Amino acid sequence: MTFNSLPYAAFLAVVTGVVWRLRHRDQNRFLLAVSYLFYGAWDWRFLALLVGSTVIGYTAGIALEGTDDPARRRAIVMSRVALNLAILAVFKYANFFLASAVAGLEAVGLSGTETSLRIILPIAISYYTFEEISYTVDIYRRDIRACRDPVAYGLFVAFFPKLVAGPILRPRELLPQIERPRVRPDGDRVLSALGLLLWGLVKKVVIADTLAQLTNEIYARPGSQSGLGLALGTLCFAGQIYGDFSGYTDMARGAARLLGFELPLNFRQPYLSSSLTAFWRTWHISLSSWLRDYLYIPLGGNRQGLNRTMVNLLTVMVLGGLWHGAGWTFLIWGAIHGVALGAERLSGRAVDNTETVARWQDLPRILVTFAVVCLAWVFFRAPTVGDAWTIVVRIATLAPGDTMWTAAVMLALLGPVLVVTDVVQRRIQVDPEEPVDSRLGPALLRRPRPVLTGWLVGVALTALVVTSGGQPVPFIYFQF
Amino acid sequence: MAQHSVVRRPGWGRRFALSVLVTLLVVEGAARVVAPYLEPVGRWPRADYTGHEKGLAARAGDLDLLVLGSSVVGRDISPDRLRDIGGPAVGYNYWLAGPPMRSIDLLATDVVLQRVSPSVVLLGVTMREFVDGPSARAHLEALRQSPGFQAASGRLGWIDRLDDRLQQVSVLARHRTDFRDPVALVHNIQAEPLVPEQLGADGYLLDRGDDHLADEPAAHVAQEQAVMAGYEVNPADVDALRHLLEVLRDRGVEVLVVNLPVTERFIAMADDRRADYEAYLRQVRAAAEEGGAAWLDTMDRPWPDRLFADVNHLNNQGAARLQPLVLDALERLPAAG
Repeated sequence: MTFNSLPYAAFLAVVTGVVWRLRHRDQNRFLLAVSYLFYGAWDWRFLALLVGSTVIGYTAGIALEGTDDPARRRAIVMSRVALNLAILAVFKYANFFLASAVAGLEAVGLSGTETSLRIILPIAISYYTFEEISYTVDIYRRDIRACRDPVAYGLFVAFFPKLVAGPILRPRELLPQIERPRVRPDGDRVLSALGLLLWGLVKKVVIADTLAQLTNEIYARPGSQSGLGLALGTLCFAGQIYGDFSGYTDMARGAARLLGFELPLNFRQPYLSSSLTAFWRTWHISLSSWLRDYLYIPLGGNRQGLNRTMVNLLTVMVLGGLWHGAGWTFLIWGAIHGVALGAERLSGRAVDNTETVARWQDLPRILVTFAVVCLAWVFFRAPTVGDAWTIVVRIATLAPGDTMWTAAVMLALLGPVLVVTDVVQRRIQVDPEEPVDSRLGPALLRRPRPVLTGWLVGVALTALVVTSGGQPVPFIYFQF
Repeated sequence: MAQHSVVRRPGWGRRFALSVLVTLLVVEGAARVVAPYLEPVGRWPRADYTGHEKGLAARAGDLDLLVLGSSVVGRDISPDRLRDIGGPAVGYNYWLAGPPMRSIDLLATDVVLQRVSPSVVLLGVTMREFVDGPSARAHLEALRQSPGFQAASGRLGWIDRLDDRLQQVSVLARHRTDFRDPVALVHNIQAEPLVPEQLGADGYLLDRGDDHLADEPAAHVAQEQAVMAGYEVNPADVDALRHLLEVLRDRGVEVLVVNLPVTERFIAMADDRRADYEAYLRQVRAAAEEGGAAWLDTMDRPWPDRLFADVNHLNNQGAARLQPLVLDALERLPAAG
């Protein structure tokens, strides 16, 4: 039951219809039940893992708060985090480490036995594990109090709009919204929620899925593609992954808003960033801020000299890469970002434009940043490191070969949609009161004009009709 | 994101809804202007299926003879001609263009045999139906996913029914695969329209009857070469044959499996040529005999090139030579005796 399927639309409509007929406590019970139903619809076998992890997290939180003995508190938090990481290690990384160990043995001339544990990755495990770690650590740091209501804690972990692909929520972001009675959304909020759902669906089905077909074809035969063709394929993937993931997040936020919740932004026009530092403040914000708060800063952050800062950056980004998947390609993707962030830090020229509107004079920096991001995407998308290297070399040498011009046409059609909406959104986010050069933004968001809004919705529906049909394509980040 | 105060005037909703509706109607109108220049899109993957649906409906009820197979049997065997020379009275040839045996089995068991109860089934085969590859997989997938097949086999879920209904109402939705790719759309508009195959009332493939091997279009040769490259008998297709025969045996239907004539040039398209052909013949014959079907190998006699319209379809002259052989085999079936 993916967000881009009709069963999910029916599910969300029923849940929204029922939830506002219930009292607050019953709303939470109902939402927890339907969240488990939603998760069980993927694979009911892993529901026990989710529930078990929730019970342990809830119990550990209360135990942690119930003692002031530092040693005992440390033991509780360490064992809880270790258990979380152990679950991740078994389900997500066991096969990778075994295969790497065998390859390592063979590389030094020792015989290794190919072993596969045939472990299936439970969906959402990376997301709820990180949320539970932050809950336990925040209690340990005395930043929050333990949640005494098991239903509320269960809902914090399993709330279905964010369960399978985030945003990775902090306890402070979601628990108060669960514990306090929520206000039924008025007409404007319902419309804005439906707008998020529609725009997210367009980004996923129209933009991401269309570009995905081109990326898949181009990346399936990197050796026969020209350097230009592979560059187009990489641009397609850059658009695909942004449309796919930010589309999912928009739909998650829209669904949550219908249910009276407000989820934080997970993307803030990342491809308008003028540095990698800015990129990581705007791309998958909930993961990057989690890594900053629970990994980078505890490692020492930038407080222990330049060398240590470099090591910390590289460590955090490599682990961030491995969070996405157990593979060398993800590790290298993280390492590229780590090295690039380190280089920016060394040069002292990291320009953070996240709080300013997109300006023409920033364009060279934006393009350079985007190029580095795309270079890293090659490793993220390619099935093997060898393929990724082939792609990079063929692009760099402008190798001759096949060029899928359809990719250029589709990028010319769909790319501007993303760029224009990002530029307008950035302008509005930076200063909601400032008149926007384009009248599109205020016209839609502050003084919605019926004809223009209707035209845009009509175009969106048309695009959805044309690009839909067949089985819904799963979201990329569901696999992480 | 910053919250904005939203200002809407009275009548906003009506004007908004009207604007959405007008936009949808304009786009649908534009699609209807372009659609005549595109290949017609039916509920089935190809127009042949639609033709067979009509043809089979016209001969509804108990058939004496049902012919199944690819376009080779479609071109080679005419139930009406068999009738004219003393064969079964009512017959129909439900052939498919370029199918693997899996598609024939799927369509026959889930659709055709749900509608008609034939006394005899003649299954025409060549080695082409027993090879796996992108073409075979695409054929099977297109058949499985088509609303026509899903509706006919009772597999249409509520979402598919909605989409099917939408496609019947909206040209934009029906031609969505054309409109999805602007480059292909322009190419399709400029391309010569495909002329659907002409079917007789008995389903017989009327086209190519006057053709000769020497005039065969290069595109057809290339298409067949692509299918036959790297030939290996696909066990899944042999299993599909076994399954179809089992279904027919359970229904008490007499079956004649006919190895149809093809040219040496066609056999040579397989990598190991004769060896591949012999492997195909051995496995398919064994499956036919295990399944209780009668076996007719028409390749046990020479078929000069002049009898062929192309590498694997007989022309009218060749078909005229084949019909008596088939009739003779049909008359030797136990039920006929």
